[in-house]
Amino acid sequence: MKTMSLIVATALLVGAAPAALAQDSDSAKVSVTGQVAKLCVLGTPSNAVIDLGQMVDTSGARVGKRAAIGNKSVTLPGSFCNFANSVVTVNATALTADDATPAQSGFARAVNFTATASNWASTNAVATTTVDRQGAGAATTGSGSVQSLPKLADIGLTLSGYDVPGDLLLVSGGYTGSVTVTLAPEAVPAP
Amino acid sequence: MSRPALSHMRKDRRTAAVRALACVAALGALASGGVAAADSAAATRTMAVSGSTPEICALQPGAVQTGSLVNMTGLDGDTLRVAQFADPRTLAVRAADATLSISAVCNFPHKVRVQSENNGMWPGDGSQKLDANGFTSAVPYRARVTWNGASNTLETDARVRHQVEDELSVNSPAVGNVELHVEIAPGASNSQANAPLLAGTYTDTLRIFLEPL
Amino acid sequence: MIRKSSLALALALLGSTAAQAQTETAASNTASRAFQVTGNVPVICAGGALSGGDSTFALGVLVNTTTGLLRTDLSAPDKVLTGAFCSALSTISVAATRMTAQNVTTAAPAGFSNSVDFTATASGWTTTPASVNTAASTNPAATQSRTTPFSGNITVGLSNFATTGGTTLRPVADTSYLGSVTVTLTAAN
Repeated sequence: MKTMSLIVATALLVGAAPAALAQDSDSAKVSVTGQVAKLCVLGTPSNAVIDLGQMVDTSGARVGKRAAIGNKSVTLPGSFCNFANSVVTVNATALTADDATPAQSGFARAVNFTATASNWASTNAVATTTVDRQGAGAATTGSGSVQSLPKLADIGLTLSGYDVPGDLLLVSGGYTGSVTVTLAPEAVPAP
Repeated sequence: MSRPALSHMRKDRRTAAVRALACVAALGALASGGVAAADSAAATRTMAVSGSTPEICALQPGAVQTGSLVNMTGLDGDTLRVAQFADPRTLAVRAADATLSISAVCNFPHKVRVQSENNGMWPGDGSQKLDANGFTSAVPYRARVTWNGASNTLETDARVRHQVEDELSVNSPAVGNVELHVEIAPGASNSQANAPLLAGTYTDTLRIFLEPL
Repeated sequence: MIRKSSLALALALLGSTAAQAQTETAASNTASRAFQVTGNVPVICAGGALSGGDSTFALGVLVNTTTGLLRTDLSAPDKVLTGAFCSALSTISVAATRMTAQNVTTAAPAGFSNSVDFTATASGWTTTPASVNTAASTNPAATQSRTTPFSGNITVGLSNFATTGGTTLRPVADTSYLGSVTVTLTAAN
């Protein structure tokens, strides 16, 4: 959005006319310039926390194992970059049990998932975590394709593809992971 | 600057997706706190243990109760022998007495049956048909069975040679010793008291049965 | 004489992008938002599946048929609960009821008994197996604890059979003596 202020300075030139020299026109040149910084903004989402709820079956053949957790989505409405060649990136950290005690044999304390940031460029940003049953492993990052035009859109973030390493039993308790969505200029390699 | 998506009037999918998310988020919040974990926090398995005890009666070989022998030599295998059956002067039957102890058990309500094969002691092969008046041709005696605190007496009268028996009901399991008291009275006779005995070997067979009611 | 006045117009156009309308303090070409992802797993214990056969320890004939006394070689194959687990620290406890004659309801007479005691042991869950003896007045070993989640097999076995009231007593005749063993896994919340 742009606002413009118009400041007008008026100078009145008044003086005795020299007797000899008279001009009936004159001109002066003024340059007009404006500055707009490059800016990306991510919209305020409806939730800052994505809760998967209860993650295991409590009865049946898969009792104690990962339940069929559905996809979870959040929107970042009205996100924009006012310059060309921006990229959306998603960084995901797998869910691990809040209790740091290593998991016993036959148990896992981590849940991997895939995070997808969509509706920015032709290719979505996708990151799939790959930690082991103890939760060891780095966070993963994925970037979408370059958006060559300035863009204003509702970016969608979806969590899907939940997977417990080894499909083992999950230790009880609360689990926490995280996802970070970033909008930034395309990274240009240094010359 | 703000362009909240929900305020858009266009019915595009983006808007619809955002509205739907609001509902899902609410359900998610309910589900995560309230599932009945109480039922699944404990697990129980019960297994039955079964067996059976069949009805059993068991009798061990008998033994003579110490000090109970009168005019008996003892138990020879399963034979009680009278030492001196007849008085040497009068040939009347001499008193004889013995009590046997037979270790026994029945683990269910049962009866004890005492059976005399001949209804008295008879000579030889029983073909004696001498109707010898005044003589004793068969000897009556008494067999008393005591078991589990109750007694029953079988009286043989030696008049007719046949099987006789008597029984005693025991309405519970019992374990202990069956006491068999064989008693030959002095002068016992199938004709008249003290009648002299005809010559021969006099025998009878007593059987004890422990069996279902 | 012509007087001219010139109006010189100095125009300054000032344009700026709406930095003041942003909520972020630093207007920047990079924006980032972090989301916490949460989930929970309730505490669950499952007793597993009984492997191989039914759930009854069938001892068969309990007595020596010559003496009527309890057999000294009574045994039944162990039962295994496979795939038992608790997703939190837990206790295992074993309880048992002695084998009692089911059809004979009168009190056993002298020299007899209408029940058979035994010991039931559940092993594989804890370092010290949980065990209970139906003749004992207290069974402190009947409950055992472990401090970590566990998944594995629990083996349940019977031993130490004895006629209630004394080894010289004889069980009364009955086609059905029946007792039971119960294994319970309880997770601590």
